[in-house]
Amino acid sequence: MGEEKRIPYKIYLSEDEIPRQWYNVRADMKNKPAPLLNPGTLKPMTFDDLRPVFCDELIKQELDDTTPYIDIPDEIMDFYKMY
Amino acid sequence: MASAYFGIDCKVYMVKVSYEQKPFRREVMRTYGASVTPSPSMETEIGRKINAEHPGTTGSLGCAISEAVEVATHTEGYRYVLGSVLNQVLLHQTVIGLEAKAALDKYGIKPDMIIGCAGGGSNLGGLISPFMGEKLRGENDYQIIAVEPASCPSFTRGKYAYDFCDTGMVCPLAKMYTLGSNFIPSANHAGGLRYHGMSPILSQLYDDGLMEARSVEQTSVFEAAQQFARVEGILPAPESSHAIRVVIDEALKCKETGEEKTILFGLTGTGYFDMVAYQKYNDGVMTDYIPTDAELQKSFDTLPKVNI
Ligand SMILES: Cc1ncc(COP(=O)(O)O)c(C=O)c1O
Repeated sequence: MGEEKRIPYKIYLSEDEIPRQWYNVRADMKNKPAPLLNPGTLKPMTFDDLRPVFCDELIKQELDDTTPYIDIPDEIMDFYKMY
Repeated sequence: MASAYFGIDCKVYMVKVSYEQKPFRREVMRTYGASVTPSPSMETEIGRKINAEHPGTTGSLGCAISEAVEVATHTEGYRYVLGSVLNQVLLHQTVIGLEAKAALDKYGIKPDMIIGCAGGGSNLGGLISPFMGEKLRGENDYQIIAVEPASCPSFTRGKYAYDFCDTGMVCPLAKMYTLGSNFIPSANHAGGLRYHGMSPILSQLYDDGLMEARSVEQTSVFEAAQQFARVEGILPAPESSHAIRVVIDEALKCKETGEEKTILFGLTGTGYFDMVAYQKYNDGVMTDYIPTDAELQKSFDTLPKVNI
């Protein structure tokens, strides 16, 4: 290693450094968080159970305990750049 | 803000006490195009029921969730979106941790401790996720601390059990650290983080001993907020100031022992909407309230019985 870089008071990231994927920590958890249960049947909520409540894409994310990285849609990336 | 950007309708059910005490938060949402209704309202089945059973109630997040879910499931083209607790929200908030880590990695900095406030747990979960990932994979170790109000102590005094996410008991049951869905924090509590439950992901990590939790009283939180404002220039949100309290405590411990530690914490927002709470603190009339064991037990007694 060369000379240590001076650490500035604030570290800024550029637009190119905005993450392009969300990280799903559940993928690395040995003990997964317990599933949501249907209060009537006490069975885990399925994709179809949740459809009247949440948007489809978000249900997939809600129930996904295994995919470590999930792409951030381009439209959201544009929004992140702005904010 | 996102709804305005994408041209989507946005209807917000806002806890009545916040609607009245925090009019500027309400106006920010209206400026971005949302219609905002104080909850419990008379517009929904469940809102009317809650109002009839508890006349004059100032509401809770649990009530607002019930109303929003009812409207979402009964209105064509509407869906329910929430701001915390659920896995999907925590997932989206991982940009916080990913960006923090990218910034630290640029200069080869490794935090020893990561500290954040926990209401429903999504901002803290988002902040710690990439670090927790390394810890889970055995690549690195970090001390991680959730900070919550002593008046709404889900982690430190709650039970790890299946519970309703909402007061109307229409939502799915989630296994989480909870004070019971009937728990309503004391009205004198001004610092946010009032939800009765906790993210199921953080609840599991906490139960597995992978992170710690502390509870702090609000006057000590505002003392930390004031100190931070004067030293760093930034006026922090009361929620964020829970983390700041523990960061200062930990830094002072280091000063005593001579140990050098790098502390990462989440500054989740500025405090300009909370000047009424700051005013109370500045006027010396802010008080602390810690629920008794008997009060908590009353709420635990209403936990649903789930044997699986
Ligand atoms: C500024 C601020 N920070 C933190 C939180 C707590 O959020 P979480 O649910 O992610 O714990 C809130 C919640 O409303 C907030 O307004």
